[in-house]
Amino acid sequence: MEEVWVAGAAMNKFGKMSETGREAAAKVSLEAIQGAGLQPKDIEYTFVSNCFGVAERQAHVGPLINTALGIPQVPSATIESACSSSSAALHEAYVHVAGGFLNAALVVGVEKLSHMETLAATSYFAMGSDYAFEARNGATFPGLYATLASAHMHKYGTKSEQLGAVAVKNHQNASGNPHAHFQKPISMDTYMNSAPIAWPLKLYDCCPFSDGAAAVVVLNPARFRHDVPITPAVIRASTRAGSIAALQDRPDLTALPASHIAGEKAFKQAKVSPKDIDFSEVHDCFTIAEVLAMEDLGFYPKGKAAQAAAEGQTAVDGATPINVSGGLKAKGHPVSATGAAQVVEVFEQFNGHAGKRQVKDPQWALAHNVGATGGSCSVHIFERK
Amino acid sequence: MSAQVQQTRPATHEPKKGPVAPAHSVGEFYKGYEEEGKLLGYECPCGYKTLTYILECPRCGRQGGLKDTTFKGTGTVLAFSLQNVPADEFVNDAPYAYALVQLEEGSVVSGWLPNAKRPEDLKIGDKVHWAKSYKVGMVFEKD
Repeated sequence: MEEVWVAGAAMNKFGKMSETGREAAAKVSLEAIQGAGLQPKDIEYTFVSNCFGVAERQAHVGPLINTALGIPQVPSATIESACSSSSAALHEAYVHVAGGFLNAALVVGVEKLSHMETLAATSYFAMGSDYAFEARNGATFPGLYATLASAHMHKYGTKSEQLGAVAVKNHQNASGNPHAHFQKPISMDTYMNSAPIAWPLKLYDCCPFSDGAAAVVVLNPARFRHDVPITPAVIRASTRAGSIAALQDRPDLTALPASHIAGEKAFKQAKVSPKDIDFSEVHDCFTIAEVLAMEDLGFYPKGKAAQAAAEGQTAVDGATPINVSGGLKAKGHPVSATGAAQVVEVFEQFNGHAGKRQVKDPQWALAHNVGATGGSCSVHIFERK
Repeated sequence: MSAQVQQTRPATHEPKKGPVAPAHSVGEFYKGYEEEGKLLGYECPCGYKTLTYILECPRCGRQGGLKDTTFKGTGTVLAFSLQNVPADEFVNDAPYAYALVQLEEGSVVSGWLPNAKRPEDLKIGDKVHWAKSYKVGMVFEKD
């Protein structure tokens, strides 16, 4: 098996985009390719994610991106795995490069939903559930995570203030991230007084509807340009797993089985353990999701992660930095761009470009990206070259 | 490579025992609860029961052997949340509770309670029953 390196990564500022998804995707792609010291013609395959492209009346966006990059002959395919789409696309790129089928691949995720009303966007997001048996019986997407939160609170005594600590921390981190949707810290009072979206979750428990695009270039090391001043991120593990689709059929409502399975596989593949990881970008579409991720991935025992966040252990300068970028919660969550954006953060951190949120001398990083309520999940572990 | 494929083929193509397809479709499930007052589900010999669509058991992986079962629609609240910001089909009833209901027969179903509008209106462990309703989806109310 070949080593696979991330040699370039770029994203735009998440939030509200005035341009279309195809424009944003093409721009971040070019930036990632040029950042790696390459040209578009060096790309052999483009793996695209654009889960809600139909919201822009556009499917099959890969050929549009490749055409804009001047490489219309290059193959492309769209990979969809709900909120974990672009990490699933990265996994596909990894498999192809590791297997020797490709030497250079572009992974690009993009989403634009801000032109839709909240009601329409909420309805779109509900389509990531088992629509016939969950959404049609009243579940919204925040509602499903809120239901997991109610189960976690009931079983482990998890408190709103502890979830609030996750929100306050991630907003603090995002305030140092020029790519972030939200760049203002929030206080615990602001969190506690925010409006209910899906009780027990409040407004500040929830990620925003964001537009955004992010791209990653992965290479066989033989194609790496040693004359460019960048530090590649070696992909030491790229794993995926699944769970029973509907929450109602799962034996435990306080964990996402796919996270646990993909995490275990990843640590085994990379031959490291949670204590070796210097920082993690985990899937915090809601504050409870970060708590579940920290527990499911083995950073904390079940029922202990929320308190760890409240104690500051997961801050940038804590023992287990989590979501130093601000996470989905505050950096924003343009569904199909999120997995690739996590890798952008890893790349910036490894290259020492993370400014106020820079983790001290990171060697190992983990990215965890969940599709919907855990029906699918990706985990990637990176080592700084 | 092709010789290997030939060798593995017979093992993966053994005829399955029991019915290949389940007895009811998603459409029949809907028809059951919307028109006939019946809650349909599937039951595996391993004991797993579900109301969601399956062809094989997701718990034991057994091939074949699933059969139809019905549920009375009575149970207890396992977990719930309030939908303060609803999706379009529920906009006239918000806020309301979305609940996972542990059914007496041993499966869990998604349902909603139009009359539970505040956290204090419902709690985990409350006994609820399926209230056949003209509204969309599976409506539950407290006993």
